[in-house]
Amino acid sequence: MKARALALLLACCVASPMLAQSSLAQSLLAPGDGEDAVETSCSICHSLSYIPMNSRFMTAKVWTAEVDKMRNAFGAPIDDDNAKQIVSYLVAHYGVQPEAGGK
Amino acid sequence: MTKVKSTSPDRMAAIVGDLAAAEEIKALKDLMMALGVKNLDCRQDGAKIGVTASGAKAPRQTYLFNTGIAGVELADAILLVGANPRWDAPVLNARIRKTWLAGPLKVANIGPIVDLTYPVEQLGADIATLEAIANGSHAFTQLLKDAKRPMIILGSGALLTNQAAAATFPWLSPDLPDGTRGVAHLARVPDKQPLIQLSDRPPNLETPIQAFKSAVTPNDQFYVRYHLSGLPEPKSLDSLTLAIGGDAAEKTVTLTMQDLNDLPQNELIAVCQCSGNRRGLVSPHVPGVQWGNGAMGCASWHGPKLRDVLARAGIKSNAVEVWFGGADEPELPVTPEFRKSLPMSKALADETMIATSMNNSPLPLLNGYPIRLIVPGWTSTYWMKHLNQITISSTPIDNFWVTKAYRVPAGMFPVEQPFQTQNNDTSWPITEIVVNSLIAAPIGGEQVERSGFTIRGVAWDRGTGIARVDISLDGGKSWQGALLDRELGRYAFRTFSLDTGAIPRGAMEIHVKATSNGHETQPDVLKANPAGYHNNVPQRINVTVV
Repeated sequence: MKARALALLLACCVASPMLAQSSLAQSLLAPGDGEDAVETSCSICHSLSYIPMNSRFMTAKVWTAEVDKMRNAFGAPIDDDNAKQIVSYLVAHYGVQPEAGGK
Repeated sequence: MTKVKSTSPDRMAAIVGDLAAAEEIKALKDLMMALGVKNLDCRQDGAKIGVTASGAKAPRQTYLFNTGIAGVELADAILLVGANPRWDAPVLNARIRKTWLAGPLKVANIGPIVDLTYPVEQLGADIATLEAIANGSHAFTQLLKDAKRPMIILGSGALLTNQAAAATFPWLSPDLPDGTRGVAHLARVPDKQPLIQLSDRPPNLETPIQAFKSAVTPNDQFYVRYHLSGLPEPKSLDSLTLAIGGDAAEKTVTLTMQDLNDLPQNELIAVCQCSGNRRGLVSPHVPGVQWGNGAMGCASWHGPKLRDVLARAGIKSNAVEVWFGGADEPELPVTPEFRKSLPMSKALADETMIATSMNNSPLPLLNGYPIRLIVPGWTSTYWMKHLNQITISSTPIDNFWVTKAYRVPAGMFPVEQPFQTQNNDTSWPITEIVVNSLIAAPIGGEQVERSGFTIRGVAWDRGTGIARVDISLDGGKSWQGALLDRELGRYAFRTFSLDTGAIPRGAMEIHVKATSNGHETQPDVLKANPAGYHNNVPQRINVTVV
């Protein structure tokens, strides 16, 4: 980038109903296979922010334990197939490999 | 117009909604300025703008359109971020079209797809695209580099995101997980100033670090922590009653607020700290709510002692625990209700009480209105909110939140009063708060003056009181004792300060470490435990002396 060339411009009072409704914040979760299952099941009891908040440091093993806890300790109505789909989504988008996570 | 003329400028205000375009807003602003009106706001959508890291008003140049409209004609590449100039700023849009017609101009967009009056290359609609451009992995970076006068137009759409909030609040510790820094944002909930929200259902919000320069945390900045999303109806709480019974109670009684007020009253200043405070700063990270430093507060609590309340029902000699329940409920009937218990020794202790007021005001709705259990010296998991049920029991409670959650490895954190009925060979309930300290000023990442500055913060422990606070200005090589302010009570925050005197310019790493009257000192290495509890390793902050 040429020196003194980049002007960071910030138009302050720019707002429109379209932007307000379709802003970048709308999809809290990363798009991908299993996103619907996650949104449907997890948001019964808690906001979805718990998922990105706990990233990225959990391995497949740790995410599986979390989903099991929701099913077994808290009684979340998630069947085995659903749980597999949810875990694979969480690992793909909010997980780490065992080496990197240190757990 | 007569009305406007007869009204004082400081009693007039202009609020701009989302439908107005920039040019209309400017015209309104000019009119208001001419009338001497200074009460203006355009952030009805909650845009993260106009406030600096420390909560002060941001300087004007941080949000100014600094090239001016005519400057658009000099640009040869324009990147739109979260903006639709055709709707938001038609005059600006006409300039962009004029520039495109006149010569080679490349326009690209990040954000929702917009229909403009010139060709636009759609790059993406998420923060990741922006990051890719910033770190050079996106093809558009080269185009920006090659351009003689590139221009970035940031619309308010980009300022609505939580990521924008994180970028605007550098006082969120860099030690927090990236994902936490992404979702954490300032939010307003009932009775509160903006707090750092980590989740809204259930509400979990922490107190900004700036609040800990004083020993008492204001009610409207006091952190909020719930386990379950079924919050009580606020109106129902006005008539909340407290039922006391159980197999080890002489009789069953139901007390009203008036009954509690008629008992002898007690007043005590005590720290209310979440067991998981600073979990988000634990390395390696562990799952759970990723709290920074602010899942704690200290308040003056007023109300009857618990033992006087229990006496209204009478305690049989076979009682081993007192169980507690509140009005908040799980979303699903199968989810364990949030219940806690105390051993008789702590339930009958002089300091344990029921608060009917907090800092001389009713408890804020989200801090347990109208009454909350106060267990000084113990972590706040025991401080039951919206307290409506007490059971004096001859058996230990069997509830998930006691037998499975809120536990630490047996013996890892020695305690003065063991919770015998809930201890097992492998784990104990978390109980007594460990000695800890926090610097609230300066804040990590801040610039400080070479002529010297004052370090301020608080220290606290399980109730033995604070003996000393040591501060290192050279990354832990040498230490000096801070000045301790007067003690407001052995369970209260103890404020401290240290004047640095003149210091050389450059980077400075500040550490703080407290020692209690119980001869406990903060450990240099965390005693790692699965839930990340009791994180009291000395805080380290980096500042730049200028």
